[in-house]
Amino acid sequence: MSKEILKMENISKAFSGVQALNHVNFSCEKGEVHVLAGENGAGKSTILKILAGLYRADAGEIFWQGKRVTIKNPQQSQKLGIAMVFQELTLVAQMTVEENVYLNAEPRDKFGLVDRKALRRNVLAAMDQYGIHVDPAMLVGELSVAQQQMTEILKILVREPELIILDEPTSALAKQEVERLYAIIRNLTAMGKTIIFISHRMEEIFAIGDRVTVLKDGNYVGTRLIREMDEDALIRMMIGRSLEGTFPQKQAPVCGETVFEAKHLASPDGKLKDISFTVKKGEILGVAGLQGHGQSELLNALSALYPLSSGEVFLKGRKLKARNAGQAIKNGVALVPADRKNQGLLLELSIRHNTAISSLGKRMNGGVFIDSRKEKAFVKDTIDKLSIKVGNMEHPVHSLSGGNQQKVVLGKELAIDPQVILFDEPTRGIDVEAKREFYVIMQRLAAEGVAVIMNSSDLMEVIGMSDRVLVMYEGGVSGILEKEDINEETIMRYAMGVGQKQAQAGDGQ
Amino acid sequence: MMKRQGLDKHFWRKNSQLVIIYAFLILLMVFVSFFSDSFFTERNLLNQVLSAFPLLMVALGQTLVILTGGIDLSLGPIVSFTNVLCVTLMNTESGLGWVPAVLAALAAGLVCGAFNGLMITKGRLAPIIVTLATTAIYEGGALFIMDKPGGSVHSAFRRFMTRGLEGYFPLLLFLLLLFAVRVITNRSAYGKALRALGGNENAAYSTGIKVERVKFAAYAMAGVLAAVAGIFLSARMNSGDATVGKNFSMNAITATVVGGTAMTGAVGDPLGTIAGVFIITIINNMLNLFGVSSFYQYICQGVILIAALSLSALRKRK
Repeated sequence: MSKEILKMENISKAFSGVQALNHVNFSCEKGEVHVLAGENGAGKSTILKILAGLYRADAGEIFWQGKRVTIKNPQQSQKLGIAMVFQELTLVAQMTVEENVYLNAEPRDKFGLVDRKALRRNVLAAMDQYGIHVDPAMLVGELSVAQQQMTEILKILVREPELIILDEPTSALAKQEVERLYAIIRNLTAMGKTIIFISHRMEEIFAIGDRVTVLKDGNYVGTRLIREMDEDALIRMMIGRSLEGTFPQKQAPVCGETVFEAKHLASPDGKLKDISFTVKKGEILGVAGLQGHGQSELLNALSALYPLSSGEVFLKGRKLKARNAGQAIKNGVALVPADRKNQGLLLELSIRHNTAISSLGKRMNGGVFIDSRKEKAFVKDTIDKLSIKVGNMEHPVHSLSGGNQQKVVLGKELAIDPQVILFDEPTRGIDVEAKREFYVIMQRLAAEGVAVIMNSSDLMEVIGMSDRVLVMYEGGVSGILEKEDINEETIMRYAMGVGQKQAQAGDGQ
Repeated sequence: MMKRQGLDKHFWRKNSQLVIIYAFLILLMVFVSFFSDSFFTERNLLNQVLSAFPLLMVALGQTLVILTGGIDLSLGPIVSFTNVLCVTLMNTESGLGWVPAVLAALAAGLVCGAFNGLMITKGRLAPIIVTLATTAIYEGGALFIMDKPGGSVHSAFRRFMTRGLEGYFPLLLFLLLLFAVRVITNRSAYGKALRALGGNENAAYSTGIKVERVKFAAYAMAGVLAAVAGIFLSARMNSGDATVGKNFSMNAITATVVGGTAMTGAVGDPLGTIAGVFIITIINNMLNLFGVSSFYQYICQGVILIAALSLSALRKRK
């Protein structure tokens, strides 16, 4: 294995001004399993989506089997022999397994129609060959997630690609199926196929990978042979960003009094498992973890937007009950959601409308009509307090910059006088100055005695802001870190599920 | 061998909907036959096809569109437009006078459908908005060509279309087109692509399906089928009428939904749509037979649509 099958050189890509990839190099040799590693937002998915034809690079060159190619759409990528198993599956729920597996590659009979006998025959043969067994006549929508995942992989395999991209393929699989997948991968590389593998699980990287390329903040860090590395060396490659001095000093000391407590939270779908934590007065609790380990679900569950099957939540010793978001708001639980455009704002409506909407009941005339004088005064007050840069409060909220939009969301949430405020990715897509203002506001809230919980995929933010950090792994708490344990290396260890053994001691407060 | 596989344990799950719809249709027919002795005669059944023919065509087209997850409100106006175009261009003097008129009407249907498809794919507009707008355009175009009903068609053409092949021509043409549409939706690779993009457009795109082309073709084919309906109506009425297609869009949607096609796309079968059309026309005929005012027939139509939609919503919840 030494023949270079793929080379990507100086790939750059920006999304609305944010540099996602910055002159990244990446190459694969025929027959290897190449792991792509890095923190959230390092650019792993972006570079692979460029390869799969879903994004186009702003700059850079791609060489396939030594020849320079341009990839404009998924068809071109597939024609080259590149196939990607996406995190979001590309199956059609209303169609059967066999129809999905051979979608757009159906065997034809002599009339040019789909040859159903051959379809069934081929699908059974492929299932035998790769040891994937799913009833071919079942509708995909009726399968378990793991079966869907295996169907998706089979769909890729029957297209006989040269290069297969697996983007966290094991996230939905049980142990036995993971073993099955390893066997498939080894079988494929033995046949001379090349695999690119994104994984956040250390054991997996070392079990199956030949080489690893590490990205960080959209930059290329390096490529190494995995057998010459250990876990610590890999983590060291992935971390090591500089603190930018954006984090303000703490305003008030944390005292011992518990404001907010969650006990044994679990969701029916298993995305959340037995989560318990406390938030003390004056404290900011950071929530960290690699993408998709349940952080957003946890915050949504606390505001009754995600179903819980068990667990209890206490605010200052009083048990809270919330069956829907309205009750959660009444209880004083506010959420600044990650997806402000869909979950946080009514984009087409005015700044005034958006700011006022969650607290309309407080400014009624005779309980029926909105008192527009009071409302204007209230909105004006919010704009001043949060220093939102606004020309006119009647303008649509989408005319504001990301940072100011986010402040409108915050203003709307603060209007309910929250006792607990949940920040989900509070600074995603906003500029540095707005970020700093946000941090100051968060600390002020904590100092005022509001329980502040912040989930962020930006590790530096978590480290810079949190008094304690709850690290999640596969839907559970893998560790609650304090003081000097709050550093990139330790958080990453817990987030990748390798720090658990030592974790127990730090857990019990 | 295929037969044995076809009747595997999934047969019921896959086809239960069709079986239920046809069972309902047969019950309805039996019910009607109590009131009309002549119902199950060959002559009457051929007449049923003759009267349902235009709606059958439009509903088949609507099914293609709804399978993509779209909707076409302009099929009725395309029926009107091609109807008056066909009659206007028909030269009753010459022996071959009907050929160019029919071809022109078919082409017009294709162009109308293709325009819808173009606006929806290249223009990236919502199907309901595009076809609402083209409804007005095609309706206006039809009135422009013929502002009041009139004209006549070639008599040999008329006889052949309605009574040709000893009265079997409409039935045969219908079966032929049904066969063609069903092969397209259920047996061809195009049909798989059609359903795939109705079910999950992103998945279809990343699987390499040319989503825009597939969608465009569905609207174009629906336009042609509407033109067939318009041409057939010109023969059956022996005249043109710019408002003849008025109720077809809505009736075709009702028939498609009654026939088990999901408004959200991907799921459905033209065979079900056909049953849906007959269910609607038989109910309407029955109401006529009982002397129920046509206002109630409209109300009845709306109730059927809501009932069919709620049934499919209920099934989904389970």
